[in-house]
Amino acid sequence: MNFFDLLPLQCLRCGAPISSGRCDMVYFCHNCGVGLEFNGDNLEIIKTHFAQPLLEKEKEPELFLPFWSFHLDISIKGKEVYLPFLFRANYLKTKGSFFTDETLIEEILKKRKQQEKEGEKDFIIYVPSFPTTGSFAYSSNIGNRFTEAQPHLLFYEENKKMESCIYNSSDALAIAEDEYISLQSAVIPNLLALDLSFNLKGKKVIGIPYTRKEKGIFYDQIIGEIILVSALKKTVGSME
Amino acid sequence: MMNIRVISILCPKCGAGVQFCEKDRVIKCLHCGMNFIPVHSEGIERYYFKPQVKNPQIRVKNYLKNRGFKKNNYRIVDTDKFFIPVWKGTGQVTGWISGLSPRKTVVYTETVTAPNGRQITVKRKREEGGIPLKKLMKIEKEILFNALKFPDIRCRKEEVIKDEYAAFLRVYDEQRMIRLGKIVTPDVSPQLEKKEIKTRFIQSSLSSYIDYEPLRHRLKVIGQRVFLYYFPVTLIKVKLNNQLISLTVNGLSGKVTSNTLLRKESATKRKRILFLDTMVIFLSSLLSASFIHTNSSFPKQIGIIIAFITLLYIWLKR
Repeated sequence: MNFFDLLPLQCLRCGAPISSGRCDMVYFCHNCGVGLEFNGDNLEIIKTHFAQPLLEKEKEPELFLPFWSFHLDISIKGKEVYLPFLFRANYLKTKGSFFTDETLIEEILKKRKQQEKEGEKDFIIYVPSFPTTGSFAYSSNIGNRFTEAQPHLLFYEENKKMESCIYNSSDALAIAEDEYISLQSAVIPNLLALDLSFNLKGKKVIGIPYTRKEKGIFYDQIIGEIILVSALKKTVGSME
Repeated sequence: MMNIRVISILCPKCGAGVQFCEKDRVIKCLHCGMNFIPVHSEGIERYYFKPQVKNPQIRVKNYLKNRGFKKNNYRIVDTDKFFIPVWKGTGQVTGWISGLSPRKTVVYTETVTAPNGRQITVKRKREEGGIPLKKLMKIEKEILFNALKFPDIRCRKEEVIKDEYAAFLRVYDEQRMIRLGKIVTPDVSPQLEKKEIKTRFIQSSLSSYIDYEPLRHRLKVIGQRVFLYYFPVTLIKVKLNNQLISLTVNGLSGKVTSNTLLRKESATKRKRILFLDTMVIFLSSLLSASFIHTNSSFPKQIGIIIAFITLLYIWLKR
């Protein structure tokens, strides 16, 4: 039995050899732009897009940092209720202790009936997946901002160079769940008491355009969140 | 803290030597420029250490010699070379946790002024705890443990993460390893152990909040990696003074470890101690007998005490 093998990193679409960072989990073909992920047995194609700037459109992006974007149906297990009723303050007013409130599900069910699911079905969670220094908590900040903003993205037709992506889809999905709970727990107290189910309807990697604001600072051209150059790991290219 | 350990293999495309680090997810051949993904069976990253100790029996003989045993005191009865497995798991525990800190009643004393103006101390009760906890956890975890129970073999699991052995680290190769020793299989199957490591990571992350009620969480392990290292040892069984003992020789450092406590004690020293003990007992017996046979009561009592002390000494020496 062979316990170790080496799988050549070649594009499944165009056959070109792929050059990648040592810690990358998604591999981008610089020839045709497709993203590839190793699923434990084989490589599989991941939809990859490069977003066009929404802010300062005249400025050419210097970097495209990878963000996983997940199209999810979030439900309570065993109940006919879907949850993407995000970020509505005072959605629920619970009585007594948040931690012992047994009527939570009933309240959600009642409220949910008043909402239309259709209007919220294109709900997307963004998970930044580029390498950073230390335990810089970008995933719960920048990711949350993008998820809250739900930007209407337009994509380039041509291929761009994507920087390193350090999360595979399953790890990024786990982070997406945390992000959802982070955002939603301000609206629904004790969300952990619910048996949530995250049903994946679609996934892709989006290259978010970044440009330099001033020395040592990048900002994204979608919602304008800044990131320090020193917070980005050296594997991210073309930095000072 | 483990530094970067480099492993050498051959490029499957051009045949050139390729070096990569244990933590690398992508391997690049600097000769032909091709990138490769290391594919590990069952997702378990298996490595072994190439044994370096040529003659483990000599190590054992030196070990026994240093402990004062002569060649005619012992006999090597069995020698076996093994690769013993050690698990290592790494990953990040991430997710939300919530609950209320444990409630308890605390009794405390307070000094108050009575209506008559006197200061008096009163005992009061206070409820503590019940503080809501709600936090997003992100904890890096690493675990190292033996993959089998083999009481005769004495080898520390930490040996597999030592940087000084990095030069002998190889990718698991059953055919080569069989020539060097018996490969011991882990007690638990890799798939089960993988799940077990995940559970252990989550449980250890929750250990500080075990008293919280109700404790709720959505903890997951991301970036999980499971390594299985095979470490070379030689198990040598020795018959020493009619007792069978097992000695483990570390296949890389040559260090010998015994499964029983062997005291460094020479035969001449033993004889000298025996002689001294006999002399002490003889003299104290003589002294006590001479005291007891006197007419006055006080020396008699002294004699009895000496006799008791002598008996106690003999009992302790046994």
